[in-house]
Amino acid sequence: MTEEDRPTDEGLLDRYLSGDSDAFHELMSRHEDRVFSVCLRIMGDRESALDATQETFLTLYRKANRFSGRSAFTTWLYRVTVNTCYDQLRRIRRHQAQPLDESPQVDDPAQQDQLGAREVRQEIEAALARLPPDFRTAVVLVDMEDLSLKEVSDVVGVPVGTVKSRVFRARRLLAESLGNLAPPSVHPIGDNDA
Amino acid sequence: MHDHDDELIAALAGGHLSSAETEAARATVASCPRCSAELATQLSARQSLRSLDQVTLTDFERSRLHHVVDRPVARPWYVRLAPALGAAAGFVLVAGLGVTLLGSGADVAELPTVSEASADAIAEPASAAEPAPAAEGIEEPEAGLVERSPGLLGLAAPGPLDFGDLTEADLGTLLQLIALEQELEGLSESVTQLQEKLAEDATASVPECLEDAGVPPAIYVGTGTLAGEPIELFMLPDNRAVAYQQSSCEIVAQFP
Repeated sequence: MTEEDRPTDEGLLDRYLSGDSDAFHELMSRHEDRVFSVCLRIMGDRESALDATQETFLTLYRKANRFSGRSAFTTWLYRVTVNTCYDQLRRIRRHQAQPLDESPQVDDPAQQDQLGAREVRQEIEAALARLPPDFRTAVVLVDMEDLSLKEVSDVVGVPVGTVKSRVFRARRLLAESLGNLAPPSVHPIGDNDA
Repeated sequence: MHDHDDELIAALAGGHLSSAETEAARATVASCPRCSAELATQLSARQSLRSLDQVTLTDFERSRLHHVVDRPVARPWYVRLAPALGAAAGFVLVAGLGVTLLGSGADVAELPTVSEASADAIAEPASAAEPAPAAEGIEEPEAGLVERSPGLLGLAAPGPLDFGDLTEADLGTLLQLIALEQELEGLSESVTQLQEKLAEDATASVPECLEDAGVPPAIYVGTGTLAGEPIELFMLPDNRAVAYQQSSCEIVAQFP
């Protein structure tokens, strides 16, 4: 099948709404990794991310008829995904009397030499997980999912300026956490930093 | 440096500006050392994020994900009976027409046979899956929304389902879904109706040992295994669900 013959997401959704359940499965296969990826970056662990992914697709399954076509299907899907993650985070927070599992510690010396790049990745993931959820969502969608600022604004329902500000602050906090703040070489006189 | 500079730098680092805007932003940044440092910080953080591996589901996770949606679709009784009702209606219609036309001397061979009419009724899964008119106590779709979705879950499963080997996490998710079915279909608004349905339904019972433990009549949803032990899952009134181990008759999980 060529790219031109490939049905659009919206076409698959219409087919599903007309009773073609295979169309839903195709839609799901097309987007499940992407949805899971966003959920994982927002939720911070695979188990919660999988729960959120399931919930997202269940919502899609049940409420597909609510897609009005005013935005792209993927924008709507991201919106459902982000909202589902926020719901799950609220639920987790309510039950946070039990501490969450810490990242597994690797004690085996034989594995130590493999840790270099992996440790760096884990540090980045940990720094990302420490960001406030709104900042984390913005930076994940912009820097990892390559959404435009306008698309993120549509997904999270805030003005574009707010998205830019969240992305800026998220990156700054990340850089601080990772020890990557670039020092200014010169402090110009009269620079009133807010 | 001001807030609007922050936003400009954020957009510049992400490549979200047009070429003219980029040129102007670069000029601004070049004239301000703090802006340059900030841009370097922004680019470095962005680069760190982009260095993370692409995330994909493992095969196991993918199968768990599909398990939820792949479950046989359970529908309310009026939806489940729709094909049979359609077939019956078709039979009555054809028989009535036949009698009428025979009486008037028309050629019966041109009429669809009863079996064709029944087959048509059964071969319309889409129409059978369309929501039935709202019954008393069942919520209407939200105003302004046209309910076109086939609907995922219903009151009772068409037959016991085999969920296979379950982890504790899977079981927790399943029980939650089973319990939430009542909410999804709006039946949490009418627990009385659900209880009546439970009382009428031939499957509305639980093993004696569970009855003794005070578990009310429930709908048997399916079976599976947990740590190798066979278990059975039931939907209870009041948005609850329970799983018990067959060998020991112990409740191994419940929701909520």
